Amino acid sequence: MRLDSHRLRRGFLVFTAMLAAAPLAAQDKGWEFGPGAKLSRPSSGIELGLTGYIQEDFRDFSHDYENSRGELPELGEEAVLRRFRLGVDAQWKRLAFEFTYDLHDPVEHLKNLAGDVKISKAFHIKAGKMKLPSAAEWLTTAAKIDFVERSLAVDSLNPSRDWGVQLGGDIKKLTYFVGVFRGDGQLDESRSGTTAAGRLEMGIRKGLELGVFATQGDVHADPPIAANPLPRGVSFHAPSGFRFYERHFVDGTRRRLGADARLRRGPVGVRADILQMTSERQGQGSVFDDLPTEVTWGWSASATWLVTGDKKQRTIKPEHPLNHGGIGAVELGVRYDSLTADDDGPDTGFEGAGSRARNIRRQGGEAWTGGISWWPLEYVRLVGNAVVERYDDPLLAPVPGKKGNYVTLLARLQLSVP
Amino acid sequence: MRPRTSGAVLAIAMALGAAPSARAADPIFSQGVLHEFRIVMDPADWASLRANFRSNQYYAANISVDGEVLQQVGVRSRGKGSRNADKPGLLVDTNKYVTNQEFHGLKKLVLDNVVQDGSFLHEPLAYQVFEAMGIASPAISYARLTVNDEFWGVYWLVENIDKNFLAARFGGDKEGNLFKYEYVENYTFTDKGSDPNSYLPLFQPETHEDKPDATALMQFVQAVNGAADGAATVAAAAPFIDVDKFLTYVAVENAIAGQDGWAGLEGMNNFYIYQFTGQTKFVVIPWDQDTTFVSGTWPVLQRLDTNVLTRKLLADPAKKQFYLAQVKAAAAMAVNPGFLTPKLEAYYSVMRNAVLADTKKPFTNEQFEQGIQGMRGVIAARQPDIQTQIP
Repeated sequence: MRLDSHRLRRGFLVFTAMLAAAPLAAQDKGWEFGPGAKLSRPSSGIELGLTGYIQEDFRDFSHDYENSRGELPELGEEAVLRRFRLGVDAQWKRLAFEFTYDLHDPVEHLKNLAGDVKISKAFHIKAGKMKLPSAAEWLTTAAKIDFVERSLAVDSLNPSRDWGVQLGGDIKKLTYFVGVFRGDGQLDESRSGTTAAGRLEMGIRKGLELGVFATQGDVHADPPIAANPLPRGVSFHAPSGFRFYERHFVDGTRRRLGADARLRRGPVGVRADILQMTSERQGQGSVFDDLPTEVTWGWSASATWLVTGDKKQRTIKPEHPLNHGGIGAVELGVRYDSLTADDDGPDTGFEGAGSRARNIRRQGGEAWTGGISWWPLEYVRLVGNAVVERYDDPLLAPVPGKKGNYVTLLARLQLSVP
Repeated sequence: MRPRTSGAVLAIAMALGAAPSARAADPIFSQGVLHEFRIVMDPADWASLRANFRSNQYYAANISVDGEVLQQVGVRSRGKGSRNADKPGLLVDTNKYVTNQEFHGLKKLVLDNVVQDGSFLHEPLAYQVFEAMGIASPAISYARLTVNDEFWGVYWLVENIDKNFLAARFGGDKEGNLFKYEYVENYTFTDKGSDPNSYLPLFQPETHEDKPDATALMQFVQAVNGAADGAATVAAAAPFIDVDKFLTYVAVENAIAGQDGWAGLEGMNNFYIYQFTGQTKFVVIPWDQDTTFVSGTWPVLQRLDTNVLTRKLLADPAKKQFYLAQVKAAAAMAVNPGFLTPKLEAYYSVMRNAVLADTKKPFTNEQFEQGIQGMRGVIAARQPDIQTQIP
């Protein structure tokens, strides 16, 4: 879908109308406008905030990809409107509400729709459609992640959004979230059934946070008599878009375990993530026999440095933006990523790449990403990434026999609601 | 193990003559040796493939052909009437799991299980005749198949009809619409209406599958059906097919006593039809010729009156004369002992021992030997029979 579609034009109109209406509404007695696109009425404790951002991505591939692109259907357009999110955050006393809609996503328009009741600092109840408590990078909005893409493991293995109920709160230095959801990704092909998920975060010292998380649910295979049963396992996508691990047939318990660490000190940010997902394959053999559990795992480590001396925080606010005679904020970053799939059975017999392989042919990939971000203004961000991909199995690499290095250049223009 | 070359092999190669096309010259389609085709896969997958032989489910496997290894290919059951659990016909897709993987420029390999021809000769000899008459045909060779080191019999290794075939045979032209005729009813080239999609169940797209376009095919059928018999039909068909080439194709089918071809026993069957890139012109490509050479005596006009296109074309006296001349030419050039018998004996020499050891074939060894003997008789009888009918 391109920018000239009716839906996107309507979105722009709604967005502009909402931004224009906010100051007008603020002229009414008792309402205040700002900071940003926020409208509040302190006397009654009401706060309304418009949220949203738009991302246009550009992508270029190495010659190897170019040579074989006709056979690589996962490689998408070189310039694409990636996300166009609009939303509202509202708060009234102990109640909070969030709504996020993507005008561009061809599959899932409704991203978040949830209400939150704050019983006490230590106990909130949230219900609706939301992100499952999981990896910190996934819980960070795509507008504020350090690179164009999330890490391989988080992108491929993390649960996404679903309907459910979640409890959360702060107890001293601990923050917890625990919930039950209808699945682990409402519109994902690999969606599981009812899934429990929980995350525990701890502030060790100023700027250092550790988190652990886990999810568990049952994934149900299509009945074998179905005309065209779909495998419900995960697939792996590289930042280039190349799919280097295909979905397998799974049935039974799906479990995720993960941990992450984040350090922010002045202009520097360091983070690391590790994530493992296991999926049983009961009765998924080619003769309906049980197969060894599919095991997928990955990790990443990254460091960023705001060379302009700005403070590394969740939302980067340039101290010297362009409209005040400065150059804005500039951040450099580097990341290493790794992601692997195998099974927990003995490494004997035929190693297959098929979707019902007893002995899954081990496949992994890794990526080095170097990036630069520039915020000329708080609500404008330009990102450039160079990604070098490598694949463990040369046979299953984009060009058979060549493990790497496959270079992809990514660029993003992002505009956010101030 | 790579087959050894011997003096006998050289003699066989000489008997088989020059390769009829570039693709047939490829070593894996060499007819002078019995190729060694090995498949290694999960035994449970092989059991499942056999148990579900009607399914097109792919399974991962490693293969080697004459010692040349290819890993992680997709293997599935194939065939129509020849689908079989005891000796499955197989389609090998080199691209199923590995992007861009090819084998000798091929992305698919067909292993025909030869369960409908007790002599193991019909299809290889039929393609020899088609090629001799200038009709592009798939390359074919004999292979000894093992699956997980168990011998599964003698198969025909047949070149798949795909873009690679088209490019090799038609001067690089491969971006047109290729259709495989699928037998679903007794169809005889009758008008099925002006909706191109109504032809797709019969003519299944093998290129541009996501956006099949049978418009020209529909126009071809309608033009022929709407024209008066004879010269008018020839004129109506001319924008869509090289009429003389098509009549040669049909002439070969009757010269080799084929009972399941364009004007087959139960309607049309066993061919591909290709629409050249950017043109409305089609060409017919033979396929699955195992029900040929069924008799030494065979009417040269067998069932041509049952098919709309052949009946209306042959109503033109000049075209009928041309058709008969082509049958006669086929007999003179290829359907005779001088051309076919050395090839028959060469094939027999290549495959005999392996076929006798093939316990999966649905024929006894006696039936096989009788089949060979029968083919010798058919070949000897065809030319005189044709000469009798077309003095």
